[in-house]
Amino acid sequence: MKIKNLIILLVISLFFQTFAQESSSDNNEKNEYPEKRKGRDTWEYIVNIPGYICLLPVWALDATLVPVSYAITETKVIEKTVDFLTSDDGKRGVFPTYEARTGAGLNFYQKDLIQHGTDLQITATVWASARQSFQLYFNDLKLIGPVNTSLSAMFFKYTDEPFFGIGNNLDYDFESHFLLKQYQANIELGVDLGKYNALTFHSGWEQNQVSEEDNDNYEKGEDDYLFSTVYSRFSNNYVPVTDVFDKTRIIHGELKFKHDSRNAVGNPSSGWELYLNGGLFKQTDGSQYGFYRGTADVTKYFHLFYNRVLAFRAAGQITTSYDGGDIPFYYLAELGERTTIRGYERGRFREKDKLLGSVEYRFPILKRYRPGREAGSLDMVLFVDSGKVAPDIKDNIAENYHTTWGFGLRFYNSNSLMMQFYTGFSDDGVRLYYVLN
Amino acid sequence: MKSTCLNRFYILAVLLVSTFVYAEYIPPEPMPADTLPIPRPEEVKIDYLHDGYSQTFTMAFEKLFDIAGYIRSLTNNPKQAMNLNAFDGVDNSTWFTNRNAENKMSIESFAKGPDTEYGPDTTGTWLIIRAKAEGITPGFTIKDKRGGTFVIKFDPPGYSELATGAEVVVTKLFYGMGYNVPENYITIFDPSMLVLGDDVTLVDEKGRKRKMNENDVKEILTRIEFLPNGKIRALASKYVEGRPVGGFRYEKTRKDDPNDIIPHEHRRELRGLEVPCSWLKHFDTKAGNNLDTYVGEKGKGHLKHYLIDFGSTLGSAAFAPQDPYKGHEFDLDFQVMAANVITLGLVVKNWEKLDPPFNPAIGLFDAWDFDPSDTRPNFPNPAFANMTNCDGYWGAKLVMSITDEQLKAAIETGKYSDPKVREYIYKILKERRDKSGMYWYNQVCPLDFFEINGKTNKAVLSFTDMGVKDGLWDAKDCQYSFSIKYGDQTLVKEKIVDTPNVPIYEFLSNIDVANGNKQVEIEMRNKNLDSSFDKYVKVYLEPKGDSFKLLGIERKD
Repeated sequence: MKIKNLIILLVISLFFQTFAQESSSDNNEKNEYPEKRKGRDTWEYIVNIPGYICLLPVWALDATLVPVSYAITETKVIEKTVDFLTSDDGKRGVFPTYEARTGAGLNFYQKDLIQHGTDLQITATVWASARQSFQLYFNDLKLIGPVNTSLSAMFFKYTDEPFFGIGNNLDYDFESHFLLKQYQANIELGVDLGKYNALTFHSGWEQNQVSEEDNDNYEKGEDDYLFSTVYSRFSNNYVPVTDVFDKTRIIHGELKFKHDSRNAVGNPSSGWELYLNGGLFKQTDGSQYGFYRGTADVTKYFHLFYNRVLAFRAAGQITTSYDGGDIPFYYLAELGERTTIRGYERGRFREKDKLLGSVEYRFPILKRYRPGREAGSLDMVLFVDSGKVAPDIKDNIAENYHTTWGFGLRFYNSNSLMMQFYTGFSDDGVRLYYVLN
Repeated sequence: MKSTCLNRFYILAVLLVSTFVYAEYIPPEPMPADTLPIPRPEEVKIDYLHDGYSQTFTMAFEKLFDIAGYIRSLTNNPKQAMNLNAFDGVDNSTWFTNRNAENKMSIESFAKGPDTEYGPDTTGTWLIIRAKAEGITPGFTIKDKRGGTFVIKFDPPGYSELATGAEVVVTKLFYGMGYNVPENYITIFDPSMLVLGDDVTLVDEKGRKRKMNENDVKEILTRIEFLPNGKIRALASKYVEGRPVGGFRYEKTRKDDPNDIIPHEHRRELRGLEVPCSWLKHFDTKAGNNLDTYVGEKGKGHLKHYLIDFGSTLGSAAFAPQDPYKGHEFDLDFQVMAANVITLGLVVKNWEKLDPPFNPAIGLFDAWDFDPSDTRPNFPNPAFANMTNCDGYWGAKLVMSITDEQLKAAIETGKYSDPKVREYIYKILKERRDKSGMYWYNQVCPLDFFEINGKTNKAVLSFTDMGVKDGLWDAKDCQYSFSIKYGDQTLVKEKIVDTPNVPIYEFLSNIDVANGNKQVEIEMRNKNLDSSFDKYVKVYLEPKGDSFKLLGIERKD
C-alpha cells in the first residue's frame, strides 16, 4: 500500500514537473535547439507536492479566468456597460445600491432636469420576504428666488421589522416582527445660509399601516412571538394597544437646520456635521395621534495625523405628546442598527427619547490617491457606540446605557462612500452590516 | 551479509566526507547562442486584467505553498539565476548587451543611446495610420515623409514635459545599462502636419471600434497642451526592428521560441532589473510593457526582447504625476494591509509624508523616501520576487556604472525647458543611484574584475573593490581578508591586506603547482565602514603553463 502511494506521488510529481515547465520535446523536434531548463530542481518538485495539491483549485480558477478576462478586455464590456448606463455628459446614470432595511436595487439619477442644478433620483429596491421600497426625489428646484425646493414621494414595505417592546431594558427573547407599509409625500423649502449652513422647512404627509408579519411561509416558530402578543405586554404603558393595525395618516411640519463643514464627503477628516430638526406631527384621519419630535445629531471629525481620523458623534431625540395625543410606536426613538448603536438589531429598544454617542477611529489600510484627488481607498474603522432610550431622557441621564463595539471597512473615493462593512458586538451577539452606495 | 552492509556504509561515508572536504569547482557551461533561426511565432496578446490577477492572487498562493522556497530560505540557499557565466555576470544575448558596466561608454554614445537618426521628419506631413482615443492621454501612430513609423505620445494636460521627458531620459539610461529599448525622441511639430490616413480605426472611450474622422483628430488635439507658438511637444517612439510578436512575461519561457531556454524568472538580467527599475521609479513592469520582435527573414530569424514604454518613470505616471505609494506598495498589497490592521494604522510610512509635486515637469520624484531594500512594482513580478542579493548586486553595478556626466547627458536629451528641472532630476537620480549602490554593494562581497598578474612565482591576484571604484567609500577605509586552499590543503587563513592585490605567489611557491593538477581556491572578504568581513567571494584558479588561469568566481549570497 505504501509503495503504491509512493508511486502515485511520484507520478503526480512528474505530472507537475511537466506542467511547471513546458516540455522541450514539442519545440525541439529536430533536436537542434538547446534543451529548455526547468525552473526548479527535482527535489523542489517533490517536496512541493503537498503544496501543488493545495494549489490545484487556485490554478483551476486562474485558468478559468483567462478566457473571461480576455473576453472582458476584448469586448470592452466594462466601457460599454458604463456607456449604456450613463449619458455622455455624465448627467444621467444608474448605479446599484444596497442597504439592509430596504434591500438591493438600482438608483437612477438625472442632473439638470428642467433647470440647471436640479437633481432627480429614483431608487427601487427589493429584498427577501417581499421587502421593497420606491423612492423619488427631485431636489434643488429653484421655483421662488433663492429658495431650494425639493419634492419627494416614497413607498416602503418593510415586511419583517423587529419589535422587542417599548423600553430600555427588554429581553432579547421576546423578538417579534411586524409589517409596516408606508406612503410618503414631502416638500421641502430651503435656503442656504452661507457656505456651510442651510435652513429648511419640511412638510409631509404619511400613511402608515401596521400588521402581523407579511410572509406566507413564515411559521410561527418557538423562538419568535407574534407581534400582537409582544405588543400587548405594554398595555399598561402609554403606548396605545388599540387600533394598532389600522391605517394611520399623519401630516407633519418640521424646521431643519444643517451645518456641514466637512472637508470631503467620502472620507471627511475635519469639520463638523450638524443636523437639528424640530416639528409637529398630527393625525389627519382621526384625533388619536399628535406629538412633537425634536432630533439633534452632531459629528466632529478630528484629523490626527496622515489621514488617521477620530470622529465623535452625539445624537438625541425627544418625542412629546401634543394636545394629549398618542405617539405611534413606529415614530418612537429607536436604538439598534448601523445608524445608531451597531451591536444591536434594528428597533432593539424603543422609547420616547433617546441619547447616543459614538467614537470612531478611522485609519487607512490601503491608501490610493494622487495629489489632489482620492483614487479609491480602503479604511478600517474601530468604534464604540453607546446609547439609551427613556420616557424622559432627563431622568437619570447618566445611567442605563447600552454600549457596543466593533470594527468595519469603508471603501471610498473623494466624492462618495461606496461600500461599507461593519461588525458590531453586544450582549445580544454579533451584527453584520453591509451598505453599497 | 553484515560485512556487505558495513562495506556499503563505509563507501557511502567516504563519499559523503570527500564531498564535504574537497569539491572541485566546475565553471558553468557557456550559454548557447539564442539567435538560432526559428519559425516566426504568432503574436501573443497580454491581457492586463488577467496578468494583474494572476500576479496578485495566484502568485501569492503559490508563494504560500512553496515548501521548497521555505527550505531554501531557512537554509539560506536561495536559487541563483540560471544564465550566469563563470564570473557572476551574463553574456551578451538577445536580451541584454554588456555596455557601460563592462566598457565605459563615451558621453556622446551614451546620450545617443539606441538612436539611429534624429526623430520623425517634421518638414513634411505626418500620415496618421493608427490612433488611441481612449484613456486620459491619447496618441497617434504616424508615418513621416521618409517612411519612418513612430508612435506619438503626449504629456498629460497641465504637466508639460513630464511624461515625454521622463521617457526619453529613462530610455537612454536603460540602453546604457544594456537593455534593448526603442528609439525615443522628443519632437515638436505643427498640428497642421497631421493628415488622417484612409480606413484608420480607433477604439473610443466607450469601447466602440469605428472609423476615425477629422473630428476625432480635432477632439484628440483638444486634450493636448499646446506650446505658446502653437506647436505641440510630443514623444516619438520609433517602431523597433523586426515584427512584433507580443510582450514577454517575467516567468517561464516562451513556448514558441526554442531559443528561449531559461525560465524568465531565473534570468539574471530580469531579476536584477528590479534595481534599475527602483532607481528610476519604473514600477509599471507588466508584460505589456515588454516587446518581443522577430528579427530577420521569415523562418530564418530569431526573437529580440525589448523593454518599452517608460512614460511611468521618474516623477511621471504617464497621465499624471506618480502616485505617492508607487514603489512602496503593490497596487493591492495584502502584506501591507495586514500590517496596517495589526498596527492599527499607527505606523506612518515614508511615502505618506511626501509633499505634493512642486513642478509639473518633474511630478512626484524624490530620494529621501527611497529604500532600495523594499521596493515594489505595481504587481508582484515573478522575476523580481526571485531576486537574490547577487542579482541585486549585479543590477546595482549597472546602475552605479552610470557616471555623473553620463547622467547629465541623458537628462539633457529630455529637453526640459527649465534648467532647474534638469538640475533637480540630476540631483535626485544621483542620490537614488548612490543609495541603491550603497545598499546592494553591502549585501554581498563587492569585489569584482579579478585578474592574475605575473607568472607563477610572481603571481598576484588583483581585483576591484566596486564600492571604491564607484565612489561609495574610500580605499583608505577598506581592508581585504583572504584564505587560500590548494586542493583540500589550507595554505593560508584570513590574512589581511590593505590594497586590492593578493600576492598569491608567496603562499604557492613551495608547491609544485604546475604538476599538482588541483585547483586553487581563494576566499576573499572585504571590510569597509559599513561591513566587516562577513561576506565572501571565492575565486578559483588552475595552473596553466607558468601562470594561473582564472576559472571563475562564486559569490556568497
